[in-house]
Amino acid sequence: MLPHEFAVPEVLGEFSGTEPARVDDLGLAARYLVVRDGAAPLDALCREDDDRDRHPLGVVIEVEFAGVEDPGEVDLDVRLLAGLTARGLGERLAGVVVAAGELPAGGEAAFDGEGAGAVGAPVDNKRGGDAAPAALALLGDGVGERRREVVGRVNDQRLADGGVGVVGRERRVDEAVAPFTKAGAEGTAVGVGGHRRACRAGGAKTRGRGRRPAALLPAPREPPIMSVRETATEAYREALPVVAVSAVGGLFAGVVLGGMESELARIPGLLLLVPALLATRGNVYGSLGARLASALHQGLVEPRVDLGDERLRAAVAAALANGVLVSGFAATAGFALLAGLGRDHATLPTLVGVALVAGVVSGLVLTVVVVLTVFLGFRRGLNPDTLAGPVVTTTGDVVGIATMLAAARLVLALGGG
Amino acid sequence: MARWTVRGIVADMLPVLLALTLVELGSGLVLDTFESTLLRYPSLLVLVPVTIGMAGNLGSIMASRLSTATHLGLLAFEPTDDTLAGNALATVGLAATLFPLVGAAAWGVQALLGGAALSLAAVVAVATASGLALAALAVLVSVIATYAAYRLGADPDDVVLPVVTNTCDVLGVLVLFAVVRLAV
Repeated sequence: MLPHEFAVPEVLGEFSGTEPARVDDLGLAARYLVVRDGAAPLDALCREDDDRDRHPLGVVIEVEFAGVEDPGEVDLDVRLLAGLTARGLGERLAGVVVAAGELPAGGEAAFDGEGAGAVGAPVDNKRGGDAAPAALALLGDGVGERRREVVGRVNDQRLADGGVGVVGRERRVDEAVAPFTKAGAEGTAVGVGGHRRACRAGGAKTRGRGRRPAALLPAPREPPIMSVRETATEAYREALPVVAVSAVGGLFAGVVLGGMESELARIPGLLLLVPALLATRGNVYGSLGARLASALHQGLVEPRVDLGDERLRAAVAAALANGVLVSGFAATAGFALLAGLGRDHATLPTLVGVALVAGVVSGLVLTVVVVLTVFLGFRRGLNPDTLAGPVVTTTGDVVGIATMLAAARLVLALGGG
Repeated sequence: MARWTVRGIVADMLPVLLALTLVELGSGLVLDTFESTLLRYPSLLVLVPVTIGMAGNLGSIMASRLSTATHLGLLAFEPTDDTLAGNALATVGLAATLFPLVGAAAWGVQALLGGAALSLAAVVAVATASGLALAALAVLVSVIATYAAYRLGADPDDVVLPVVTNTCDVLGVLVLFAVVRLAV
């Protein structure tokens, strides 16, 4: 018998079997789906819908009761979960997985990263013994207070025999578990989509290498409540190296800019373009990095440079197109601005020429830097999300200014001015 | 998940990029206004990219930490919130540590390359004052942006970073301009 009273008040939709299904296909108004007796691969549920970041698929409840003849006989309380989605958590929710079952052979967690259908599969349940809910994993990014509420409510359910975890799509597993440990929940956290290094930390176990890491983390018992001073110290220590490196990069860029006095004087209006062109580099190639990082986490792109990969090619081509288009636009708009204000300015072809040449050259360089950094970082187990930003801001400034200088010299040599 | 065709990605991003470019041209206009001062004192010119970059960095680090704390339900938007206060303190601390060094380095590099027209103390003072003002602004902007995203039900990760980074870019130039006006 289950230790908790489970009753299904209302099943909004049912799906059986192992075929991938989309919530849309089932015509559900609600954002969740009840899967009984059989695991719909969560993988497939998500992967089918390329818009899942904007329209998360919702809740998957996966039940597997060992020793129960007819799963239909077992009632499962989905009120808690339905309540979560109703409260708007569903807006950001990729899925909820509840699994219950007996100990698999060996008493070890069965967690197979290859088939995401195994998400929430029976987990070590030594102290519970019977078919207590083995794990509850919320996959998704609940926002703020809502999540806090979830934590409280899940805690109220006293799932201490099993495990509780929250895993964002790209959230580090240890971060994801923090609110639960803070709330005093014990047990084991289970997740997919967390980052590999995070999964390895704290004795975590990883299977299904690379593409879709699975994780098992022992939850620490002492809730890490941090004071102002601790928070400040941690944030300072974490950020100092990154900010210091980018300061050095910025200084290099500054030195190049300082050496551009004569070009700046000969092409009036060039200085006006500096912030816009630098910001474009950061925005365009920063977003390329973020896009590739997300795709790596989701397994949409393989971490190797393959020009035959359509997604990689599209992302790179779009970034280059954006970079060049926006550079040209900045030069044109800057020219119009200066002319409109009656300020001193170089000719339109000169400004546009410098912007386009700099845009193309810096675009090629930054694409190579971003792709290599993100891919190599990912292969070494670094989180590409945190890697891409600082690398782009640092190299973007240096490469951006250096290519502007080169482009300005080229255009001046060709007779612009 | 965003789309994965060239046309789709360009269509998604281009409008935002063009709008941000117009904002950045605003800060370019400020630079253009004090171009003569900058060309007279190249040490200040050296400070331009690093000030812009650091402002954006401080803002984006603060914002991404706040976003994560929001996601984890660890953050309350109150002045007494430990996470908020701790991150704000760290941001100001980072600025207080790094900007004087940046100022000194900018002066040193310029002195080596072609003689600095301003004194070391002046450049360090300009960098430090700009840095502290920017840290305060970065904290303010990231808290407001994260709170707005949270209230509007948007994912802070998607929305806050570009807004904060670009706002801080513009503020970087404005603050530098204001400090140079006052000090030099």
